[in-house]
Amino acid sequence: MRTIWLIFQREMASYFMSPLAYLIGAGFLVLTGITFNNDIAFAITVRPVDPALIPNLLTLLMVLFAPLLTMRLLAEEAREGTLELLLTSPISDFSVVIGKFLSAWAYFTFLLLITLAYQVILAQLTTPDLAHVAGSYLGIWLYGGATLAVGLVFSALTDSQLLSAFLSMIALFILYFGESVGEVVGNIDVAQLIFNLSLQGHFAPSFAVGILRLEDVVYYVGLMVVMLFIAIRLLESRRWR
Amino acid sequence: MIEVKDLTKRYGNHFALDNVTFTAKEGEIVGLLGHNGAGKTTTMRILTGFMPPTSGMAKVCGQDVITASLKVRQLVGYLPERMPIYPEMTVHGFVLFWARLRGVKHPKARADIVLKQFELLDRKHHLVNTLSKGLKQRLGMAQALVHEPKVVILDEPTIGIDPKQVIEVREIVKGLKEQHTVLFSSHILSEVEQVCDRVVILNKGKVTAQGTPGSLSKGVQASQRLFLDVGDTSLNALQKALEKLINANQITPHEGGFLVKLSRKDDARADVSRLLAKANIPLLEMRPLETSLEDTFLRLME
Amino acid sequence: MNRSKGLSITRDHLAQIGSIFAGIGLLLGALGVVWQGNITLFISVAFGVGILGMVVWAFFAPQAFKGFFTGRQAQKGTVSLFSTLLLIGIVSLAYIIARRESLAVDMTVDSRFTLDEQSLSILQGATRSIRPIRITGFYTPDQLVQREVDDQYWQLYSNATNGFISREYINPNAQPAVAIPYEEYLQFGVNVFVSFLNPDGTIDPTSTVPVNNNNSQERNMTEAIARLLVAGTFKVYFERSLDTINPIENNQQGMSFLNNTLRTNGLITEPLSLADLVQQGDEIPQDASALIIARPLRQPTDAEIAMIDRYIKRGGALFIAGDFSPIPDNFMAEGSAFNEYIWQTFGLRLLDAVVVDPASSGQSALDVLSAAVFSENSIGANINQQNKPETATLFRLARPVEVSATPPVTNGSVILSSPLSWAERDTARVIERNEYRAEEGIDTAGPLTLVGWANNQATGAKVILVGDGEFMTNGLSQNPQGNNILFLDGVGWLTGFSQSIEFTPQIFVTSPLIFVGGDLLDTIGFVVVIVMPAIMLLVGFIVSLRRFRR
Repeated sequence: MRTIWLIFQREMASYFMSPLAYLIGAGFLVLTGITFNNDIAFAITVRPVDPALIPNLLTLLMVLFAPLLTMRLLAEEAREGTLELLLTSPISDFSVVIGKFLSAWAYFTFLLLITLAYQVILAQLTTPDLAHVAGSYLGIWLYGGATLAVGLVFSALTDSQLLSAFLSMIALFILYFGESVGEVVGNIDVAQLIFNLSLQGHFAPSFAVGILRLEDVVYYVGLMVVMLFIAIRLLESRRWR
Repeated sequence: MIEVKDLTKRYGNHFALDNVTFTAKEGEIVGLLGHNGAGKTTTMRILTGFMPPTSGMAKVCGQDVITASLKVRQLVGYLPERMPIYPEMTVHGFVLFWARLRGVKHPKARADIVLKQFELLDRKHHLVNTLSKGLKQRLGMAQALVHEPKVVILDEPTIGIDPKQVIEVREIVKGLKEQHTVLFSSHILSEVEQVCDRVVILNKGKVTAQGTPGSLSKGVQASQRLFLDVGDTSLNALQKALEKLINANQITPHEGGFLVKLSRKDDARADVSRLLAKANIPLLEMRPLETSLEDTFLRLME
Repeated sequence: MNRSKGLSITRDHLAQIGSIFAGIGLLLGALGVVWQGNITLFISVAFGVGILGMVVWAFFAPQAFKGFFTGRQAQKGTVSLFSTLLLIGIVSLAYIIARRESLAVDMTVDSRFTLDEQSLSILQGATRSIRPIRITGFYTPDQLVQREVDDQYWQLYSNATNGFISREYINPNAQPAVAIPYEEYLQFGVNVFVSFLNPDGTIDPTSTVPVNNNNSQERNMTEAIARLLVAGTFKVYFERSLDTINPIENNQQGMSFLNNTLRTNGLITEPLSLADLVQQGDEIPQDASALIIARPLRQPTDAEIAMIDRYIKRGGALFIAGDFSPIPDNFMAEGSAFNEYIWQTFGLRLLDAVVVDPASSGQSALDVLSAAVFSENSIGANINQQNKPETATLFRLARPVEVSATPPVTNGSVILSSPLSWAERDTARVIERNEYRAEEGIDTAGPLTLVGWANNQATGAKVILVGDGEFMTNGLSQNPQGNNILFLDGVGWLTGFSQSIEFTPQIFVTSPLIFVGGDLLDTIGFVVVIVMPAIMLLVGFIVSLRRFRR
């Protein structure tokens, strides 16, 4: 536990000292800001504000951002050689992976919380459905965690940050677009299965519309657990390959 | 404290290490000597638990590096070949991080002690990436020692730093003796000669010799070398004259004269002078050459 | 061995290539078997390549090959792989259980995903039905997301009735034959239906009710279920012996559209002949929830009127549509027996005049649109809705209805013409020369009643009287929609059917529209798009300074 905390602390410091992370954060805020702003313009006359607006945007955005936030976590350390120091220190691979994952998730949570500012603005103008908002934010928080875990696996896989980012973007892309599989696959049962394996399949019909389902929570948490397990095994495999 | 037996590391058909065996006793400084690619770094990485051997045994303080990896890692302080850093950390923060990670009881105090020891205190709050290579090496040593490990493993710590700092590092390593067991790798002979109690010579993954620097040299002095100044005499004539004693290929031109390599232990100078006189070859100078570790090394590298 | 770095192919390379081919070949082969279920040519080739690869690998690096399968690498690798698969299995199991339990929390402030009390009470009634109920949804694969979202609603019904209401989703692309009976609805985007199930588990097609497809999903489903439940308990008779519009004919002059609409909503319809009943000495059947007399061309006889009266006295309901016609002795002409009967009994009668309304009309002043509607009772509630001009009614050559000021029972108007209208009594002039002029003293001034109602609260007898009959024909009943709304809601009121499925409108509490002025909008935009990211960039800049300075 102590070592997880130490790794977590170091990685968090690294995020907040890294100009790149701020660049990513600014890009993130620009995109969410534009979306929010556009939606307000519509909400004056055409239709009410969608409480799950930002989370819905983030489901797509995280396909791009999760790899960017995680690509350096393990790949850079391997390339720079600090992984050698880390793995020859008396700490478990488990601590390394979990500490790094938690820092990425915490940074994401930080960005997510900033976007709550939009809800504050909205609350001055109208009465948003706060419970719905809370529900969809919970959903995207879990969703984000799952995408970061996927990104971490690819960071563990290679020494090259670029390759890691590229591969995890592809993987997340596939997981994301599973929901549209129905437009391509003719067999609806197969489409249903793929839909249930996809990221959006557990967000769009539930968190986005205001329902909290246990199965969606299980999916995201399960995906996180499996991915982190794989990442730990990958790291561990350096010791027996 | 370090026990390596038949250690082998194979990549496909290529053997990075081939049945390497050596030991290091408590308080000793052992040097690993060899060219690049001889297997030094591989050996150290196996000992520190970074990679596994294909076969063989490696133990540190009696703990097997594979089955008791965590324990071994607690006991070892490691300075890798290219001292890796987290560029955005401060010097103090860096040492403190590793101190805490390795479970040091009073991390801040220990950090200050090692920073003092390696004269980095004045740069305590500088960022790590502003340090010169030499200072980075010192920093590396600091992190390797901050948790007072029983065994210290240093991979080419004097590479790429200026001569003054090289001397400093060597002094530091010598100063580690007694309290720690040190495994130290290099491809510079003089260094190993000066610093180490014992030397293990690696060539292409195999141990070609091991022992104290003195005994190695002596061992090679089972052969002698004589320098002869025979004036204008040709190589052929000389070879012919000494053929009863020495093979033709043991006589080579050398610095205005000839170098004669003899395998006999006894002093062969008398026999040589007699043979030369018999052949009517003028002997202007004859002196034995000391076989240095350098020569040993070069010899063993062939 | 220090060779020059040329393109030398070593044993190692060959062994590596071999191992790669082995892996890929065997993997593709295995996948192929799983996917296709039997061994095809492709799979055999894949396996062949795999085995060849293994041979090459073993030949060029025998020790490594052996080591791969027996060494520590193999053991640990296998353990890792199996433990990962095991974990995936456990997680999948947890997921399947969670999905089956269907635990969900409704986060919306207006509880869109929880069944409200009205729905729950109707569902209670539903479970008392003898036959179980099936919700059938037709979704094609590209509508999968919609299906998932809808299922969140339909699930509520299954769960609330413990599966008594079951769900089935059909892909019309995969099963086109099943979709044929529903084709018309599917074309209009209505793709969900409720029906009763027969004892053998098949759907009873005669009971199928479509579920409306607009934003209030819960309400639509509950409405449809309610309609299903009351289906068959209301029976409406169309009178035929008076030369009325034919409810079965589907040409322009027939009335099949409205007839079918009644049926789809769960009412049973049948023809009835007053003449035959009189001849046989029978009465209007006891199960007649309402009797529809749609634009007859002859007057009813006294015997027929008497029969109607007996029906009225025991609480019957009448939908009477007269019409303007130049022939003498037109149905319900002023002074005729039936007209007088309705006047005596209900305080309503038709006048011999034509409504002319220059202010609220269609093509000509004779095509009268509903100018004003009383929506106190459910007949007019959906007519003349705001911003929906198609919900007006249109009568061509309509006779005005006179509503007695001192009626024997409660009565009133539903639809009125505008104050600028009048009842033109010189009908000959209208017909011959298409001329009309309001003449004071002769022509009654508007607003005129176009549709009147009466309700004997003691006996429960009700009547709706309309001065136009053409609006019910196939040609004119659908456009504007107000015409068929009038008929349907009218019948609903008469039979009590609409009371059974009356709903309080669902109020959406969330997200009322916000009113934001231009300036405020600009400020928000500025803050959100420029300021916040800029702050982040600024902090990043400061951080990078610090980092690269020292």
